[in-house]
Amino acid sequence: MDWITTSTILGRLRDWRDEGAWETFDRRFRTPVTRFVRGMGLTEEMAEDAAQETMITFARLYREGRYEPGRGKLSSWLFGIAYKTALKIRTRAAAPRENPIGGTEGARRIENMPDEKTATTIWEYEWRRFVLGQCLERVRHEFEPDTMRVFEKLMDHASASEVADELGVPVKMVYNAKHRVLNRMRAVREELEEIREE
Amino acid sequence: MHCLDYADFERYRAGKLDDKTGRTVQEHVSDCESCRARLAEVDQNLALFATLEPGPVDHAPERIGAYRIEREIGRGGMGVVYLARQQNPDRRVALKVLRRDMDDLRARRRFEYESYVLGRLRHAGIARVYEAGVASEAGHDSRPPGAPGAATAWFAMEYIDGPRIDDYVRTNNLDERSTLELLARIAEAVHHAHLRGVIHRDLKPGNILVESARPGEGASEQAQPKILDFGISRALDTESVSATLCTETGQILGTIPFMSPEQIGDEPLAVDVRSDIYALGVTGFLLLARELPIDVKGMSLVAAAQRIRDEAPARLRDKAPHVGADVETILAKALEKDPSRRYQSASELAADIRRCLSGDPIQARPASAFYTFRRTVARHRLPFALSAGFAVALVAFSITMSVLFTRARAAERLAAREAETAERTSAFLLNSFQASFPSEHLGDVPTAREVLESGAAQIERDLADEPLVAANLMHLMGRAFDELGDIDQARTLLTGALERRVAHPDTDPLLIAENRNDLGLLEAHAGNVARAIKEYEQALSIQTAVSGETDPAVATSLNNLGASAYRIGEYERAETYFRRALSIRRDLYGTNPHDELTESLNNLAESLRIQERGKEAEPLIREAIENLRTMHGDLHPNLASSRLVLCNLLLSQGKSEEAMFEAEAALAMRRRIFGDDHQSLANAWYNIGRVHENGEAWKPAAESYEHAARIGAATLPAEHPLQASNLFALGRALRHLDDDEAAREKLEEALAISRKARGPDHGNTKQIEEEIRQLR
Repeated sequence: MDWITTSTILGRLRDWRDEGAWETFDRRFRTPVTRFVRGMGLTEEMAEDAAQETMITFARLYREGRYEPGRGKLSSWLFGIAYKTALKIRTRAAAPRENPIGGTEGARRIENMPDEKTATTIWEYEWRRFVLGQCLERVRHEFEPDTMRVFEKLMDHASASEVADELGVPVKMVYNAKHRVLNRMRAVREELEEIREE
Repeated sequence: MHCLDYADFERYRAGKLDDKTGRTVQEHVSDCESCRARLAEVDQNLALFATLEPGPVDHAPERIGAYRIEREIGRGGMGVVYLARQQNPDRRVALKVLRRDMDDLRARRRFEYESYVLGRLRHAGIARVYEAGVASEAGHDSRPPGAPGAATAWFAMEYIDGPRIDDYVRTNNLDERSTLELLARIAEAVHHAHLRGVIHRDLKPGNILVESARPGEGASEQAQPKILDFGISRALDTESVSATLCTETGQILGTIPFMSPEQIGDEPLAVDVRSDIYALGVTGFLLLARELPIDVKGMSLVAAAQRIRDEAPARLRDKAPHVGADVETILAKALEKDPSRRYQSASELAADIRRCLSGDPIQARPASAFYTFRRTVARHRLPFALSAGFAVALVAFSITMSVLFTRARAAERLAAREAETAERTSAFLLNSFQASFPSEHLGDVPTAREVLESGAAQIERDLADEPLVAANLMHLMGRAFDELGDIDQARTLLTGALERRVAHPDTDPLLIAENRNDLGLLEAHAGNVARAIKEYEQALSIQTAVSGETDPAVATSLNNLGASAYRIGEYERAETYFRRALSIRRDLYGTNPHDELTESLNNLAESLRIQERGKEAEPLIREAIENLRTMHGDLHPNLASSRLVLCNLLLSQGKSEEAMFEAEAALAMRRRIFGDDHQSLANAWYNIGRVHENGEAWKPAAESYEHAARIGAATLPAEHPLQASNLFALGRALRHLDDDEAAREKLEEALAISRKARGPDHGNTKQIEEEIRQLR
């Protein structure tokens, strides 16, 4: 299956008749956003709301031409929206409930939110994780299933000799498979990162 | 020292070489340029590898139901398997998550019922199903059960910590005896489930794991095979193999060699316990010979299916000479094509294996020579039917003369019958048309619809005992009603034709395929894309089986499938279908102008254009336009369509003026052909609106969208997603013109349609809500 580039996915959002555009976009980007807002301390339910709102805001602003690829990385832009949305949802969820003991629960929760610097670190971690996941997904189809089986077992902390024993292949082949996949992942990562910054 | 490989470098970097070797490596690397480069590569790779996480890097939900996901442990045809932890009771489970549409109440009930049955299967050889449920897709929207959209069905199963059975047999280098012991145990477990009415349907080594033997115990004596996924395909209502063949090609390929001929054919209802016995036979063969009984490696799906249906399995002892004759006989019996010649229960199979192990005489007998001969003839039925003359010539030289002659005569009879049917069909048509133009009704010429209606009524009345003639007529008339836009009438006729054809033994299968294609077109016109796809897929599988992969009719089905995939936004899939269709048509027509070729060029170009691959699309669409002009001049509906594709393409390249030129030309053409209010004008107006919008000319954009919405309201079926798009575009344009009141009205209308047409949780519906929130 051909890999769909990020710019294609975003470009498609502009045609409102494109029935598959939203789903493709959503599938690609929702995971890092959800993980990030969870990392910001939102409950599962709040995180789902925040992710949903982030995606919709992102799509709208993109369609209105508010994102200019030249001006900054896609990831920073997405981060900005997700961060603001997470704060908003958090405040919204906490605000109406008065704490009987004094002060408001909301204020305390906001205090507990990670500051922007910490949030940036969380985001960068999630984004890196996301990009690597994308790399792996993208190269998965380029290799024989057996090669990927070797690779996944290694990722699962099995040693090369354990994998060789289990799958009945020579150890050398295990190392070859590992580095072939990694070489390809590195190449793909460069492409993906390039697209992000276009 | 020779150059080093990846394994050497990793050991070197891990400090696993002794000092002396380490130094030698160091020296070599400093001298050898290619090893230096290789080492740098390894370093970068290892740095990347260190940042990778075990298990799923993407898309893993955090929890499902009461289960916390730990990591992904497998990915298969039907879904993903996670290792998960249940809190109460505290245990590890294998959580199989299947993305399936569970909205249909019937599917839901069935799933509940089946999971209840599966929960009651208790056998040492079957991985237990603890619990099952349906959840909205975790990590995505929190859709309540039963709401539209795909939901996730999951099974929490006993977690088996062990290798697949084929890996197990290979790594432990199991001998014949131990392998047979395992096989007998598996058969006994399968029998246990069969007795409780559960058929596996997907038995294969990947679904059988072996729990490790305790230390000190023999590899096979205590090793417990455990079958996974019992009955799951049925619980998910995925019985129809033909329905999944095309949609999940990649996934089903691994399963195909284990599917019985009846399972692979077009009789999914014929699947019973004996299909599982066949799969056991294949598994046993594979374990003993390390090869499949019928090799389908590298074959297309259709070719593989055909081979399984037609070709005799290899003899076990040709592949594994050390195996006993009785074992070969047992597996051959399990692998019989005809279910009635197989073991009739898994316990019979298990018992024969056990007899063999204890040196007692087995009950299975090798197939007789006569039976083998009959199968050979049956296998060639199709070619003989197609070339009856050749068959007749051949029989003179053959001992099979009488059998083949019968076949040939049958084919002749069939041909004669078809000719007769065709003749009767045209006679009937002529009659009914004459009846509709009676001379006494001068000046009162009936409409096409009236002619058809009277004909349809007559079919029911006059042709009750000539079902094939009736079917031909119903088919023709159904198509005509479809063109007139009378969906219900068309559906009744096309379905009626199909039923009659399917029920009749002399029907030409290609006519069934054509019938299904037309029924698919009808459903697509009615907006039922999923149903359309089903029909096209069935048509395609008949056509490829009968006429091969490159038949022109195959291209038609592929094109239809592509169009449907396109309509639901699956553009890559659409592209694949269109490409295949184009390649067939290119072989047929070369670069000569032809309508079918042009259709393929246009469709492939559009599927590429929408994926923003304009560079690839442009030469195709330009060729299409040129061909159309050569064939039809400057005024043709297809030319208008192709110019709209070009319009979108130019727009995406930022060439607004040229884009507008194409869109306006298309609009003018459609107006001349269809008048001012035809449905196809809405598309042209929408495109013109987009070009204006692109230049932020909101006023003319709003006017164009207004036209699109007006025509859409009059001509599209109620609640059509395209109308939601027209209204949304109009609403947005009005908002930019600061007419919030009018914008709200249009957006609310778009929202109501989108909620019904796409569902409340669809991204597009949510975006309309967002747009409404932006209003003051």
